[in-house]
Amino acid sequence: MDTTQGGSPTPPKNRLTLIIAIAVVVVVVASGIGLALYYSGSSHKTTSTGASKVTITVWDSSASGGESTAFNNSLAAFEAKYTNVTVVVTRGVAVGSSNFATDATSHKAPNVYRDSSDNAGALYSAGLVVNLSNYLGTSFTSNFTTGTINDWTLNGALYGVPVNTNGIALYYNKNLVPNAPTTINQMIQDAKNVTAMGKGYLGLPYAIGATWGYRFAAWYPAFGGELFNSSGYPMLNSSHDISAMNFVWNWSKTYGINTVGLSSMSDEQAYFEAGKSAFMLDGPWDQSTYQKALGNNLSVCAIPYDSQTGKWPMPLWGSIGYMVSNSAASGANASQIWASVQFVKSMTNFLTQVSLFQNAGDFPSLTSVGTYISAHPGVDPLVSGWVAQEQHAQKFPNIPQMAYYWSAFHIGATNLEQNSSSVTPTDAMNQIEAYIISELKANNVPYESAQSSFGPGIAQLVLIGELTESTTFARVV
Amino acid sequence: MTDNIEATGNQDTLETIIESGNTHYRRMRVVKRLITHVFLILIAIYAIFPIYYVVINSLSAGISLASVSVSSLLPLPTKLSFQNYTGLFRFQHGALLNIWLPNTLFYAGSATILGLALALSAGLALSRFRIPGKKVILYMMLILSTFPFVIMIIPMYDMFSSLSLTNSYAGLIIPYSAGAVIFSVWLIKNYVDGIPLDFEESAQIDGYSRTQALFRILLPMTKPVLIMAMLLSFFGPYTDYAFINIMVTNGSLWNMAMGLYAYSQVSSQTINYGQFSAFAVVMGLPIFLIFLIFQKYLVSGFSISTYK
Amino acid sequence: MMLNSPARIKENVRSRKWDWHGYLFILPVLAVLAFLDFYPLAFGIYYSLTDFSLAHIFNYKYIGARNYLFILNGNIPPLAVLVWQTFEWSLGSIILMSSFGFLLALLMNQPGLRGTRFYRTIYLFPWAYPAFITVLIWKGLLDYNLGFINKFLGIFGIAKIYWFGLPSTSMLSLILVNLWLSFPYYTFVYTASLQSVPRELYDSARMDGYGTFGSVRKVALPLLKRQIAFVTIFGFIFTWNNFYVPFLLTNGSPGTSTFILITYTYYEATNSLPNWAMASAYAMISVLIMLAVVAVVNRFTKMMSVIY
Repeated sequence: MDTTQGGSPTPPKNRLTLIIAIAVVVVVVASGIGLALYYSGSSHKTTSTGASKVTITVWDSSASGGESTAFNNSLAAFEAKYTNVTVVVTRGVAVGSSNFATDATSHKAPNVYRDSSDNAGALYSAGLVVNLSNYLGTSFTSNFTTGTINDWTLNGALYGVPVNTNGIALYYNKNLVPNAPTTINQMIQDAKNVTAMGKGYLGLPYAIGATWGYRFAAWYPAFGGELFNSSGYPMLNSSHDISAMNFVWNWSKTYGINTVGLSSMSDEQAYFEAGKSAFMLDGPWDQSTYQKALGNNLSVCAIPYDSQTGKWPMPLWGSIGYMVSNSAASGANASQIWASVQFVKSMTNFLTQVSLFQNAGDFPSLTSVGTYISAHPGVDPLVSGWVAQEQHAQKFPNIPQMAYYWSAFHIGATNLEQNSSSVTPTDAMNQIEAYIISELKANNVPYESAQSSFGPGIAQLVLIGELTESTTFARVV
Repeated sequence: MTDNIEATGNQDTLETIIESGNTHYRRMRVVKRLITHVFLILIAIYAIFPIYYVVINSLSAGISLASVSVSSLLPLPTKLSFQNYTGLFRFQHGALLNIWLPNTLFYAGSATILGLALALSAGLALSRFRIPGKKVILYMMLILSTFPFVIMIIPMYDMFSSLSLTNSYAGLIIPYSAGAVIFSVWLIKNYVDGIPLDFEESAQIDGYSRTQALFRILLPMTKPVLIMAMLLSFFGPYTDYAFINIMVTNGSLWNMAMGLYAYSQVSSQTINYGQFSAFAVVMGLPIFLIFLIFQKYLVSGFSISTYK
Repeated sequence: MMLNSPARIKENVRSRKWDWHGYLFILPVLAVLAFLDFYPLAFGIYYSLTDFSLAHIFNYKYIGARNYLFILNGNIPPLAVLVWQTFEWSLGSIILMSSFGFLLALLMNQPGLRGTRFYRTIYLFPWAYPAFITVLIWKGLLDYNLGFINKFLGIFGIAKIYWFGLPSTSMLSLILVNLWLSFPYYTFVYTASLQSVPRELYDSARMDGYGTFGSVRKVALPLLKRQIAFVTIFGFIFTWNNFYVPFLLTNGSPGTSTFILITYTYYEATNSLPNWAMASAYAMISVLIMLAVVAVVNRFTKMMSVIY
């Protein structure tokens, strides 16, 4: 090695290393503690300032470009009106109810959050969202359609303000089906005729095993069934709901108008957009895609009723809206909550909703905007079909247990589709019911006393759950 | 180490000397070689096809997943277009170049430097110092490496939140730098174990202190394994999605993976496949080039230090 | 200073006398691990014994082993199914990747084979490209209706394959995508270790009348047995905790047929009614199984001896 270089005696250097090392450790530890102390104190400091200047944080989950345009316009209008309120907006992928919940665990959720009424219902039940009934009276809510206000009401509390309303209806290809079917039997017959046109045609493709039961839920009321009873107990293995599954299962099993093994909803869309299928069950958000593919041949109607029983299929009619988080979730003070409520009112007003309809095709929750749209039919030629469907729709359940329906349906329907030799529709519905109950138990619901932070719906479920648990599980195992 | 392959490729082995002159053997050998090459070429196509696929798609105007076909994958000069790239760079007012790319490089770069410093000092010490309880530390690190990150994520969020580290650069860089640290410590420790003590001895005889000998003499000798560790600590942060998605909501802190997700999620049913492909090429290219440049060190790093 | 006499230094270094400086060097890593692993881990264990979930977000409490008991008897999907799927995923992947990588390394290690550098560079592609992106590319390639692979097979009259549509095939598809992502790593590692076997040993095996594979079996396998075991076991641990491939490709669907423990944990923590306590319990179960596997394997392979 190079002898000319390091001739100096070592002990001083050794001591230097020691001193530096100790200094580094001390600085790191001290700054860590200091940082923690500083910030643990700072949250109190910021909230105690007066009401003159207020900052609110907003998570915006606007999906399409059109929705974002409408949001930005309304935001500008709000900021012009309330100059003392600063709005900090977050958009994009991290905006979701699970991230909202994670942030709420440390009181850092945003002040205003936009989500669907069912996700919001779960957040309200968890005690994270302000009950707006204390801020907005009936003079405000009466401007909205009854359906959308119902979507945003749980146990008598209004926990958010709807900005739109949506659900599914029956798209059809006028080239293959000139007139909308008026009964379920006619719909089946139309689909059979289209299937008979030859190879590559399929009347009513529906990827039952690859979807999560959102569109399927329309069929339960057609057979007198429901998702949850008035106590919030899942009714999926009732004879009515089993009939619904039998009916849809027969599309591929008996009528041949559907096929087993479609891997996703886009497989259905591929048929419909290629003009190879008669019908497509879908919502208004895909309307522009279909218009591009089918042009004037595209039309939409209400899913027809059963002429023998007189019962209608009723799609879940849901709503997106804005909610305000309470101080437990976001650390908000009274003036921040007040500003948030003003913001929510502004984001759901007449001008915003007209803009949302024109830019993004969102259907309004305000009655007055509905009237406006009917007076200006040029914007959406298919609007009458949607209005017809809205007459036959069910409330989108906003009790927390609804969140378990999706996976449950997916598991049951997949099992039915993949193992149809050994699994019957009845088995599938029993499995769906058992899964929901299993999830409710896993989330400690049946073990909770009535003072759970969840609403009375769950408290009653506890009792029922305890009673039926043994019988239900005997079937599963 | 890599050059070895080429070396043996040209050298006359015993086998060829013995077998030369025997035409039967020679023919057998040619057939065997041919079969080997066919296999290797097939695997090469398998390896390269998805990359080729995404590059070609990114250069085709108006491509969608539905319109991809055998003929659309042929590189025809007539339909080559860069519009997917120009669209990508314009997306959200140039967020890619202004926010996502610089952020990603900043996270990955600083995590690499920090992580390497941590791993280097620990790796050297674990190899060269007599530390009571060393075995316990090594076992502990081995066991920790079997733990999935998911287990940590919620407590970590709460801890970071109370330290105001969520939505901050520090809150990302600190965990990122620890991401590959255990594996890097292992690499360095095992590599240094294989270097004879003589070098440090003679350095200390020459008057270096123990610590100086470690850093001035040993450090330059660990170059291959350092580069290996550097690459490993760079990749994690560069492609992270799961962690940043939970820790960050502020769009100005996003990395490229978040951008890519947002970009393709905007309309999940009608994803613009050409622009997705362009994004995939832009995001993958830097990593790919780094890999090609350092591939020599990858092989040698593994051969010496993953196991003894 | 007398301390610096050559003889003393030599003695000092060789004896590896205890030196407190060693702790200084490993202190930063230990601090980082305490901050980012032990603290969250301890909280993870605690959370798994509470009812910390959206329903009890601010008023969660200690409930003992109730979560574990519930997982053990009654939750859907049953724990046995999840564990089985996790083994299917990690064992299937590692067996395929390790043997494919070894065979490829053997093919490339033939004496006198031309073009190995070319092949090696090509085989780098899947490894060098960020997996986050290539997984999304494969997702598009394997789409049932629109994917290129099914379109390509259609040319030869082969019916479309439900890659991700059926429980029976979707796990296999995941493993095949994972093979593409990971075989380069194993090829590189095994190439390096095959090169460490002296060429003369092969030649003498040839002289004894063994063919190509015979000499590999007689010479290379006994020498590399421990290295192969080591690489395979660490690959197994890595695959067990590999999150992105199953998460991005199927995230459990169809049904729950492709959930593995880590993706199910993530699902429990991030669905619209997050249950962080259950997620922690599942993560703990995953870790416990992993540690048990490592302990059992260690009895037979002594892989922990890399520590010494």
